[in-house]
Amino acid sequence: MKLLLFEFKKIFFSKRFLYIMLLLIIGIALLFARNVTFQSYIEKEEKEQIANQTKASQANSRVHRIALENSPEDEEQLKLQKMNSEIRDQLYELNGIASSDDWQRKLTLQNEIFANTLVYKNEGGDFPLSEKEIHTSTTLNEKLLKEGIAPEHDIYSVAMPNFMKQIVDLYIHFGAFVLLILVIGESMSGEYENHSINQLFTQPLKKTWIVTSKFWSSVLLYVIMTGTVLLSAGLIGLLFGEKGTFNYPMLIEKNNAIEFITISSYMTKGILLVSVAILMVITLYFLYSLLFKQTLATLAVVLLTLAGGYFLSNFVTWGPFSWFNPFANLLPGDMILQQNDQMWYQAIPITLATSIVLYILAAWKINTSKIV
Amino acid sequence: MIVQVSNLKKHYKKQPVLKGIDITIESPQIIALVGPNGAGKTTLMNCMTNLLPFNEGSVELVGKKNTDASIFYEVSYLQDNRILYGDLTGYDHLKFICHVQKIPLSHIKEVTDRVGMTGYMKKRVRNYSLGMKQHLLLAMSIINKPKLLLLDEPLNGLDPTSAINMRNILLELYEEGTTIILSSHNLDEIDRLTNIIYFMKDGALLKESLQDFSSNQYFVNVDDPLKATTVLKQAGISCTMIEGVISFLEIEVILQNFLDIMKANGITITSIETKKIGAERRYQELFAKEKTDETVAI
Repeated sequence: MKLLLFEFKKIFFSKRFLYIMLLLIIGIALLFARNVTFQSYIEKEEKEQIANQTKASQANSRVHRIALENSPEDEEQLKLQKMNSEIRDQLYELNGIASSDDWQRKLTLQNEIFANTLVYKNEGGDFPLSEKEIHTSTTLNEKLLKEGIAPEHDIYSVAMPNFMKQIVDLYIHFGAFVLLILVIGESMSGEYENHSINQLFTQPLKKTWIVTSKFWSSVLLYVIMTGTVLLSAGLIGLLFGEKGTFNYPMLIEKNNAIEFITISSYMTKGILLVSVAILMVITLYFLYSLLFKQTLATLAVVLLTLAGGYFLSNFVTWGPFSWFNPFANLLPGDMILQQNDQMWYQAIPITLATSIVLYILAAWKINTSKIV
Repeated sequence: MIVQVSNLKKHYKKQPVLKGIDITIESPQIIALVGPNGAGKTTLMNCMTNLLPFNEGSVELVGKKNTDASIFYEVSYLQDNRILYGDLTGYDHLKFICHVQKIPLSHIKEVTDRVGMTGYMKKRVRNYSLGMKQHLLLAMSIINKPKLLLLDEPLNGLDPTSAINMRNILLELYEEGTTIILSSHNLDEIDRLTNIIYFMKDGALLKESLQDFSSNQYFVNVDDPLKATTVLKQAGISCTMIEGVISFLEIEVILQNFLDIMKANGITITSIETKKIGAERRYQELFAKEKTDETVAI
């Protein structure tokens, strides 16, 4: 315990950790400022989408008119023209209420347009929206209407829960790994380079304790880092953003069907998965540190290993592979959002087992380790 | 048995660094390890404390094998200041050792007062001068009141006052029963600390008692240096004169003879200074020849 505190203080009181935490908070604040700045862009983007669809509908209208000029009795064309006109009118109406706060009306109208578009496409008409897009958008709109939750922009939301989700997304997709490596980068290998490990080796300590205390102090620092990320995002969102809801729905694919989870569930699962992966990264880093005793070489090999694992996870898409792939949790977002033939928690046991094996190897290695 | 090193051999690749070192220490003493850079002094200490592996031989400190980490309750090793953590305070370092060695925290104040670093023990080590770091290293080494204290170049970076303080602390520890093995290039300080010197040369150990070599060099000021030189030459006495100060070795000239000659010729002695030169003299005998040979070879 005493050694753990000593190890923790070594990093916690370092200038590097302080600067990383400061930069982290500044980065989160800047991202929020960007979202605020881009609020006017959301409406513009929405109107552009409507305008594009309207243009497509107008082009379709011309196509139908020309076709009907050639064969005025073509019933199919007549039917398509009628359906297209309806879509176009609805798009005009949607454009008219784009600036209003009546989100229920907008979503209802959007779904009507999607429904008509789907029928139009099924009847042989052409429209720049895929069936999958129409299906997912319709399902999400229905869910929002049913839950009474106003829609939020995917990227530029200033609602506190959605902003937190955006930050958590960045954090669990490599952010946590990069920050952790920056924070504990010299924790073990640096001790050999600076010869400060000699101080620990000339105390009545079991060498295994050094690995154990460094491991737990790294875990503690990771918890502090994660807490800082969540607190900063939450606090900034709470003070300067909108209220929003943690029940905001997110679409996931589960066994090739669409399902919903809430933002809070996504964040909890995401952080759980990335934390499990972090345990493995810490033990992997310590083992390599003891093998190479040189920070740059250690970092290079850790990054290479993680990159290899990342590509392996991307390359093998066979669901059950996650049971045996300790690197699957390097992509927590994919594990949660794409649950086709696999469960989101499937790679947790193998990642934890790998962490334990790496820890045992590191503890064994330090016992035979001498100074360089 | 405080130290039992038997036939310790170590080599890097095929280059021998330690050639069968034997050290046995049964009762407290102060031993100086002296030798030129690269002679193997630090390597020997590192091997003794299990920081470095060795190829042959055995090491026991305070009755236990050196691989047993519990020896460090009774053994301390003052190393170079790279072992310190710049982001922590001196107090943090000492507190850590107290926790690990189960020493009451009240000892911190006691030891920092003794070493003279109480005033800055709560500053971060990255702001310490070389001497301040050396003080901290000493405090860390003696806080557990060790039975055996190994010191690698403890006088590095110390001003004269601190060096005197360190010498006094080491002598006090010795009187309290601590065995001290120190390596140093400061031969004057070694002369003041101990008579037992282990000269290290090419990985081998030459144990000597300075009592066999300990000698005084006299520096005499007289009212008429020119006349003094002339009469000493006539008497066949070998001495040197630098800036009006006559100097000679105790083993070459008997002081009483010198005084008699001065008195007989009416020369008044204004002052006499004495300097112990055992370590330096022996060092020169052992290593200067080698240096000369090297120069000739070049």
